[in-house]
Amino acid sequence: MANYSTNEFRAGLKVLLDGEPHAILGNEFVKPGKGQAFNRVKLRNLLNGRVIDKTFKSGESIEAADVVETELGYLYTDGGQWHFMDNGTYEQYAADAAAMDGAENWLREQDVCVVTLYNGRPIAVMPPNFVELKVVETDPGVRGDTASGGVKPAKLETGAVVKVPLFVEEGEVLRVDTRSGEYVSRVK
Amino acid sequence: MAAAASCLRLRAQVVAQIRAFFSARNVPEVTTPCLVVAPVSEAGIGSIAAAGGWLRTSPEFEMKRLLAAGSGDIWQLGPVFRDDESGRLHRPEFTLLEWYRVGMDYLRLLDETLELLSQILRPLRPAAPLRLCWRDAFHNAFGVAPPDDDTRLQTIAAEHGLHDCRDAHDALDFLLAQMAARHFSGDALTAVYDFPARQASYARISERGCAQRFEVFYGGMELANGFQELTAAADYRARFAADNARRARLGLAAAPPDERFLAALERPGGRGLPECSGVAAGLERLLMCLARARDIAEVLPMTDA
Repeated sequence: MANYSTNEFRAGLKVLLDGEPHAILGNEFVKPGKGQAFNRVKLRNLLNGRVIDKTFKSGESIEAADVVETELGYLYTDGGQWHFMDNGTYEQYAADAAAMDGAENWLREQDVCVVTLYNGRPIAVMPPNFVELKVVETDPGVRGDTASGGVKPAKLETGAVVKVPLFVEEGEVLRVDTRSGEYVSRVK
Repeated sequence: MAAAASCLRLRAQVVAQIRAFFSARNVPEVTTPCLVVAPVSEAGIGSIAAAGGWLRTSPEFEMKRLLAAGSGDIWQLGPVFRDDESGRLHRPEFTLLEWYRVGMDYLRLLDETLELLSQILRPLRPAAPLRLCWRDAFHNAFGVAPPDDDTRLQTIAAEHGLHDCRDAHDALDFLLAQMAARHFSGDALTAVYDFPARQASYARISERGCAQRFEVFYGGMELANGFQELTAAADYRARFAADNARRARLGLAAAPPDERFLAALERPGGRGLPECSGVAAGLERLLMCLARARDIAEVLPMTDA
């Protein structure tokens, strides 16, 4: 892979640090009047999400990480792994639980996700921001009680449980925000 | 894009304040050339070549020639140029205030520096200035006394996030930047004095092995750098040679010493530089504090280059 010098560092760049892929979040030039110039860089470890501060000498280079984001269709899970396919090349990829990190709560077959591949291996899976899922289990609705603002749990077809208004009934399809895990609306 | 009128007025006010400060002390303003014959030799600073010579990175050696010729106290405010410095707090061209006091030692010059900076920053109502020697500043920030051992120093720098430390110089520069950024009070001037000998630059080194210099910060931002100046040509020659040895180690081009400066100290009957201390402060950094600017570009009249 290529190398990036500190003057090329910018937010979004993917680099290899201590053998692990990181995304650069920010880069600031720091220099004591009489001393060496540095770049104070904030990076997120793409494997565990940890954000670290690292200081590089200005002019120093580090290796680029082979990290790409690509859209893949969700196929199925065998319990231990979640399988995806590139709908253009038909190439298949398997993501483990760490890469899924909760994304499995929202996925139905054929949903398209943005998958981050590191050296060709999925390390992160981003489900669509909004998904529409059917309620498979919830307490019976309370008619006429739409104004009280009360909520109850509802289990969706993917297994996820979300808080919904009291009027929601089994069999209805809901729009859910996967980033917050919150109910948005009913889908007619 | 040109600056707002308020920014131009602020600059004019601060410059007037500086003139009044030195006028009240009977210190004359001088102007020395921006185009000089020798590049800076310190490894951390880069000179920009121009017209067969170099743009000055500071007026230090020209002002010291005036001192050697018997000028007495002098001050100067003017543009300086540094290669490869660009960022939120840095521009390749900025305005430096530099002054020298004959017969005044560096700690009294620190008092004077704090007096001027406090006067300029008064609208911010800063807390009282803090002074601490470098050893205490290090101890406060990192929880241990500064180690004598270079390897240990480099380990501490690595622990605080310095990637791939080349030498103890790098470690010391980084750790100072780290102290300032993480540990100095946000609304006060902090002065650090008595540095490790390795960071002496052209400051005198005491018998105890301390570099007799100081730096002043406001919050984490460096504002000023002061020195008990070396006086003998032989001492400058030795420091220039050490600068060049480090440049060679780091793969940087050699910087030939400024022979006109050395000749001014060595002229027959001369006694080198008079006993003096000198300090430099960045004007735009002060304006940034006053304007609460995040980027130096906000306080420059224009930023074409």
